[in-house]
Amino acid sequence: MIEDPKIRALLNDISHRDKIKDYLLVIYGQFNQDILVSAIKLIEKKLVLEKFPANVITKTKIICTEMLQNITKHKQEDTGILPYFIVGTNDKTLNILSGNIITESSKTIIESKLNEYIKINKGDFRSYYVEAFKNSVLSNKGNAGLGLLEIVYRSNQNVKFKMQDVKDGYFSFDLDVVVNEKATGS
Amino acid sequence: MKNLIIESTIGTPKVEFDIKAGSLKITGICTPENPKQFFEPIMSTLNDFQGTGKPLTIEIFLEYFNSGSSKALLNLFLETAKTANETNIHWLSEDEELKDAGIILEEISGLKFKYIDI
Repeated sequence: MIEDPKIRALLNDISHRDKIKDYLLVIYGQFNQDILVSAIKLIEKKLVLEKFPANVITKTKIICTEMLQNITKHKQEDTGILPYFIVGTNDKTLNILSGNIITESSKTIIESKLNEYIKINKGDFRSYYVEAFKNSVLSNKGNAGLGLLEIVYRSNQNVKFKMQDVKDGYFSFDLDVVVNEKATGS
Repeated sequence: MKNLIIESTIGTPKVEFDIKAGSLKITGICTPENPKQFFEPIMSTLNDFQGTGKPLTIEIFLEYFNSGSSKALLNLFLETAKTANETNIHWLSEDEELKDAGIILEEISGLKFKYIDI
């Protein structure tokens, strides 16, 4: 029984929208590097139990790492709106969902990148990825600006996102990633 | 010149740079918050090692990694490509997804990788 009305409403919404039947992992609240690694371990264990192919498990771990690191790096705690991260399955797909609050400047960058990645032809995406990866620069803070690109590449562009104005220049950023068809592997 | 040993932590791999043997092994999970900072001692030891002119074997066996670490690995490979020293790169992987990451790094770096399926 989930007592928090916010997370109950969120799960209800996701169940309805993505037809999620089984929730493998739900995190709502604080995010940091330790939670990230623990979450990935837990997801791996659950996917092994669910008999997902090894390459799908690896793909999922890489995507989850990027999504969780995005939340950890860009969280805006002073808004009082907490981020979430969910992994669930339905009959055919494995879905990874995240939501967090971002600033207006982040919104502009993320929106522009995702719209660009999603519209690239599937057949051209690998060479786009390689070129972008080659030309990226690792900053002193350790950012290469490749997180979203990695998510889109690993999910074969199965990415949807939504951004909404929440308050005072802050926006909610909901990212839905479909990893793969459960039965077919990569 | 000293060997470099970095023990693994919850989100970072074990690193073993054996100068005498000409061997660099990176093993485990690689999701540091700041990959540039994590790879700095490896790059520094590599720069010192390159002066010896000895061949180097790099063995990478990662369970998974973040995109920043992938870029840091590329920088490491590109650094080895700057010298005429012989470099052998062994990319160990448990599945096609991880092997693909190696193939992309091989493609960009222009170095020849040896793939070992585990």
